[in-house]
Amino acid sequence: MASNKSNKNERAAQARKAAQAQVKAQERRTAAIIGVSVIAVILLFAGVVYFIVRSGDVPELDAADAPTGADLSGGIPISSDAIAGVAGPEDAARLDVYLDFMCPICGQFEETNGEDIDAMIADGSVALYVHPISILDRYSNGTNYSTRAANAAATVADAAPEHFMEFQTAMFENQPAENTEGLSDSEIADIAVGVGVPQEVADTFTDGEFTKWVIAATDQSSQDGVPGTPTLRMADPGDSFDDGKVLEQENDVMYFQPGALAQYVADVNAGTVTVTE
Amino acid sequence: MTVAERWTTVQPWLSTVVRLAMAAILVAAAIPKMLDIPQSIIAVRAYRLLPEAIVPFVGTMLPFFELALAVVLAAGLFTRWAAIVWLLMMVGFSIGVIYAWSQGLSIDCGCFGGGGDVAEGTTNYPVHMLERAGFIVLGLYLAIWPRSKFSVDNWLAPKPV
Repeated sequence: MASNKSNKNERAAQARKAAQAQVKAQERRTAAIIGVSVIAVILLFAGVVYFIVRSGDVPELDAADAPTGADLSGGIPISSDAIAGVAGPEDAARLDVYLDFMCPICGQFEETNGEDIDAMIADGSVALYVHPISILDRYSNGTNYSTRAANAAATVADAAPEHFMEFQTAMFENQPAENTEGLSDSEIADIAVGVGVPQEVADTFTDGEFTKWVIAATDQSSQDGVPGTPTLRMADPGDSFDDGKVLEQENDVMYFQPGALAQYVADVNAGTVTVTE
Repeated sequence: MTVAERWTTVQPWLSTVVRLAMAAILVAAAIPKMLDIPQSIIAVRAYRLLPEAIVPFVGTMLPFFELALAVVLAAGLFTRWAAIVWLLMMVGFSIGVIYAWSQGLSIDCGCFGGGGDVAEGTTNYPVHMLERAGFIVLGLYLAIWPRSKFSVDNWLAPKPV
């Protein structure tokens, strides 16, 4: 009898213990699930917040303060007198050149084709639009050289448009290597002054007046299918930007071969080659 | 020890390695993207698969999502479900790579940051597809055998005594 009772008690105690352990374990489980889930949800939430904050950083191109004469593709037109912000000849092929001042191949492109392009501008055989974009900021050790250089170019186009083309050439002649801090704003200013830009204009590079426009134009270029820099986009004579297309080296023109681009533009103007159907 | 017994011993350890490897792969994929979100957006856009309206959102959220999944995998919580989410993601990426390949696009997959279009001839689709296939095998393994050591799952559901 007695042993029976103590057995019962023991069993009851054991059952209670087991129940308590189960409750404790349940609590731990809940805590673990909540803990891990909360971390995951916070991360996703951070992403959404970041997205909302950042979407304010990329202004629409038409809302950004653009350099005088720039169009809604983010291109700065070059007149036949090599003045920035003034549209070139209407009856010539439209050529859009996208470049990043940090991009070594852009420097190579400039070296190969710079003089040809200057000549084509002068004889009215091309309506050039320059797009200084910024896609290589990650290669300047945090100084955002690409954006600063593009802003400087936009500033020159706006305030000293007759020196824009020379400034661009000089920037590539003094091009810094990737993964360096690039040129400082004052070094860029010295380059600008060296090609004739007034000191008071060069002094405004640090203000970043056109930084927002550069960001918007860069985003627009990506939407327009610009895969990297340098990229050329061309439209047949009389056609608008939207009618044109990005030129591919393999299928359209090997523009790293000296003279190839000039020949291609001449063919397009003559109508023996068409950019688009 | 029979083969079956040996497998019972080895499987949880192998699952642990696979699970942690998947978490590490996700972290490796997420960090560079997170450091350069605009580039991540460009990489998504380069596939030319999604409408422009959602491209920035997808490009921004992708690394955050990868990191969140990495946390869940590293903790070993809901392992089977996490593996299934991983598989869905990998299938999505594979569709992207196959599509880009079929369209002859010259793009970098952007799998581990970077991405976007690249010069023609520098893409390497077969290698990307092999990589994808390897990742899918990892996911399948973990979805089939989610039990692993050092996991919240294991701790939540201890073996019946």
